[in-house]
Amino acid sequence: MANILVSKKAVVKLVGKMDEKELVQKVSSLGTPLESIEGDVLTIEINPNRPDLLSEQGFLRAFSALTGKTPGLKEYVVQKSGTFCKVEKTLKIWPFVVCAIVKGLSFDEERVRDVIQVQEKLGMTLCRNRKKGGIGIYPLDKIVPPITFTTMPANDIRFTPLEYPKEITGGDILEVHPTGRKYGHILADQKEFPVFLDSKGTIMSMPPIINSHVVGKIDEQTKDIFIEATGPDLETLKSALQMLCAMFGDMGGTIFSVDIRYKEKMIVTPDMTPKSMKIEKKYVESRIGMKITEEVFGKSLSRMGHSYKNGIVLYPAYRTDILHQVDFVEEFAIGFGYENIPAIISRVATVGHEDPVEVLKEKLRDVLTGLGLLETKRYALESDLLQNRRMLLDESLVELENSWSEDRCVLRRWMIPSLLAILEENKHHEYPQRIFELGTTFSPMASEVLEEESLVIALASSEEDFTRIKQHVVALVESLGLMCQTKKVKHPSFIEGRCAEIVVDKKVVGMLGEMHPQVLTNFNLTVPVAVAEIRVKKLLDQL
Amino acid sequence: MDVRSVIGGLSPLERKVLPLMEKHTSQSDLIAHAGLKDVEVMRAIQWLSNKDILTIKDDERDEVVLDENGLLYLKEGLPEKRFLRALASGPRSLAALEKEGLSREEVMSSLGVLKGKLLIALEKKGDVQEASITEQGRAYLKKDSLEEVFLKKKFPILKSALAPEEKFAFDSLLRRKRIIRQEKQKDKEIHLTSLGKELMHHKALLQEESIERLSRDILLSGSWKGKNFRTYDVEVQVPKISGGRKHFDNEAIQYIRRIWLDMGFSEMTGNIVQTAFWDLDALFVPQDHPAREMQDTFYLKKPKNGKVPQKLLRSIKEVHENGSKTGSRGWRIPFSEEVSKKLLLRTHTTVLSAQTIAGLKKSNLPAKFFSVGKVFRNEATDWKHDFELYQVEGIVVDPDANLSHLKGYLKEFYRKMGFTDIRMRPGHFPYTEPSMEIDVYNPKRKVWIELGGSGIFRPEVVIPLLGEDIPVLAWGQGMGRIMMAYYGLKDIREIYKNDLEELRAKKVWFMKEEEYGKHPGE
Repeated sequence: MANILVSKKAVVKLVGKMDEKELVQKVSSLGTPLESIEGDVLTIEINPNRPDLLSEQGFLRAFSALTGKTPGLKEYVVQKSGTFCKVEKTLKIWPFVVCAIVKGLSFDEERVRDVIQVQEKLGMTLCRNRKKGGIGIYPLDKIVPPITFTTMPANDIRFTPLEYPKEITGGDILEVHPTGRKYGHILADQKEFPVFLDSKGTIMSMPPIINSHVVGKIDEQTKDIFIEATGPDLETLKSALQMLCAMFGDMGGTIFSVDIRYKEKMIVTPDMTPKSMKIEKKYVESRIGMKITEEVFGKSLSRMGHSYKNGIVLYPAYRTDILHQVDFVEEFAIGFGYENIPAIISRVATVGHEDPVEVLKEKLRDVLTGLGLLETKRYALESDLLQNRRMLLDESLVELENSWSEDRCVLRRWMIPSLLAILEENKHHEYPQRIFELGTTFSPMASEVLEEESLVIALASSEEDFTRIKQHVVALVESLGLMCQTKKVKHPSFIEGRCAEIVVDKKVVGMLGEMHPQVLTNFNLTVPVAVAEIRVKKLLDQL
Repeated sequence: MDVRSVIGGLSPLERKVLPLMEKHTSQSDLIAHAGLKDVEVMRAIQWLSNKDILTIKDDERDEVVLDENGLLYLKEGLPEKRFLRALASGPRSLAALEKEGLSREEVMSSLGVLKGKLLIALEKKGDVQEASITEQGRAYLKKDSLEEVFLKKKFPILKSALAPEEKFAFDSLLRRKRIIRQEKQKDKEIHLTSLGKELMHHKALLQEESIERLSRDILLSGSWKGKNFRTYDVEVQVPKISGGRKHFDNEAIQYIRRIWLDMGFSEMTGNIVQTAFWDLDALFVPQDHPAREMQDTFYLKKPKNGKVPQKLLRSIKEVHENGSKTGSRGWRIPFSEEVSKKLLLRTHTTVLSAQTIAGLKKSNLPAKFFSVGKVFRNEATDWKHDFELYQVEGIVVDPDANLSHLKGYLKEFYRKMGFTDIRMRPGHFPYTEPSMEIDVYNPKRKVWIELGGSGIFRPEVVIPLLGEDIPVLAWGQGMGRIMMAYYGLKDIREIYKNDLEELRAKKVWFMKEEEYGKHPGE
């Protein structure tokens, strides 16, 4: 998620003076939470579906419409510039280009900074860290159109990249320039890199990495600009260009089109023509849950910057998030105000059902707490150290690809180690310590993971032994009306001859026993610990 | 105060100790005379003081006790006396005296004392010093000296109680080697208050038998009849006890389950390990969505890939790429089946909703489901973010469901969770349209708590899973912040802290429903 900074004065001009709580409410009603207010600066969060709001101009355009100051579709006139961009040679991974010219702008220090920020934010969000496209903006007086988009061998490219003291080659840019290092992976394995050249042959930039410091940097003297966007996704490029042109249009600039001459065809960009979609008011009514008059419908949509007439809605070209008429349900709801929609509960009855495993788990809790045990709760993510090595085991575990910590890189296969870890952490407290836990255990299979709900009990004190844990398990199983038997078994984590399988109606449902002294020592424990672990589903199957 | 009721509240120990207060005014004296264990007397004194029957004052004093030589001389006599006694049968050289059981040191020290008092005379015979007893010496042998009298006293002796002649002997002995020493003695001075003095006028009452513990014998014999029970101080603090307890987080989860069950929702459960297909693709999250990246989602290394239902995969792939028959444009980016197969830890329980919808038939509708389940986030943890957390999930699959119902269900849920000030505002999720964020107001801390998202599933989600575009209300909300507010946790990770003492002492989950009896949304 991206945040933008907006002048509080500009917002207050639209909504009038209000206290902080009201202002938060009002700004958030556009779906753009107001994160903080510091002096004249509002920090506003923009959701990834609305890259068109990533500039102060974009936000104020939408907010002004919502407040009713300037409702309806905002039209942007595009004049012909008469110039063109020739697409000569392109990389397979970077084939598309769109351009525009905007004239009659005025920049101050703050605006220059804003423009750089918008470029970065669009590159990050809409263009997915430049993977789907890159954007460049140039002062028009420094370059001489027409422009050529082509490729050159990496080391034949020589220019001074932005904020760098000298001319270097394209290859060097990826090596030494910070921006080159950050985005160089996009051009990895390419022998030739894309470049923009003006009609004099000056290198304007090496997209999508960096502009020329000489001809590709706008400043406070800049009046007219040239904008380009290149990349693998033409739709994204067109949208980015529309968003930028709308923003510069709002700054007072006049937008001019550029002919893009591909070898096989020509396109004209930018296209600021609004898009249209058929929309049924009935559909919106059914999704919102109320009757909507034609007037309210139109007015609410116009507050979202759209124009509605006779079942057709016209919407700004840059609204990349509109995929389906369902998107206008939300547009209507925001324009109408979420707070104005009633809250009701359907009177049609349905019958609720509980998951039987969950029901049994709660019964087990009842019985065990009645026996005086304390329920604990540990993370499912654990370590091989706990699950295997401390338990004198080497079992196959479900492993994570990208854990940040060795302590949390596997999913627990059994829960006895978890309770031993809890006992270790509570060594300074009084004994006896009698605890249990219910949780999910995970065993790796070929192309899936076997997940089982498990119950684990641990009794720790000088009094605890095999008999004590068996008493608890028998009490538990018999409380369910079942018979409990135990059968001797060998397990490396337990004292030999003091470990058994728990058998209910001839089915093994778990195991119990006294922990091996080496295991206790591994957990720094100095009292005997008797434990049991039961698979809840297997117990349920016997009921 | 009523004397009878005061005496009625005295324990047997207090009753024994109190009458001794007439004669004894120090703790040590009482201990010496009570015939009880030291601690019993001390405890009784403390209790009596708590009841304002007596006052206790710390008392520190000097006592005189015999030292090691003192004990020896008490048996053998002082060295000067033995010296003199040896001379009684005739003069002796000093060397000869040393053979009569006196050490050289004793001979030398006695010499000074005896000469000073003119009890002996010294005469030089050749090279040898010879001592002989004087007349005063002989008289001296017949009676005990002040020092000897002093040594025969019963120790320890209170220094402040010494008579003047004793003081002389004390000073003289103290100067000599290890005969006596002084010790600081701590004691408690105890005096009856006016209430205590009054109780002394009712000694008969103190003697009266009162019943302590009711016992089987007393009950069987009926011997309690006509007797008084000792009354207890009912305001006194008692030692804490604790028993078995459910984990506080699970108590809250049970409460939340109950709310949804009461509203006619059925429970969904399912796997924590899921494929990206179910967790993300089926929910129309574009395959290039930033949330899919490694820093947000835990992917599995072993096993790496899972099974994906092929027929559904094909239709969902098409919806992503071009919208298919959903009326949508789709994301218009290539869809990778390899990405779909990746196993991950579910990032939301919405995956259970997707699977539930896929299993529904039209004849099952309307249907409502909920789950309370663990989800995983691969992000830096801090006081309000953890990598494992519970999500409360719900769906309403109903041809007549709408945004008003969504607001209604959530408002009712949060009302039952104790929040009456609820804010609903626009939000964004790739799988819902419209989307809605819910905040609740915590009046104690005066802050809005953001609880998470809700909305109506997009047709791109519902149509491939259910076969037609039926509204599905959906929500998935974090519980951590509510738990923190209720249990006063400063850090969300305290839920998994497992300090056994703290778990025992946690308050239970109890929610008093506000405005009970009023039907909501009317």
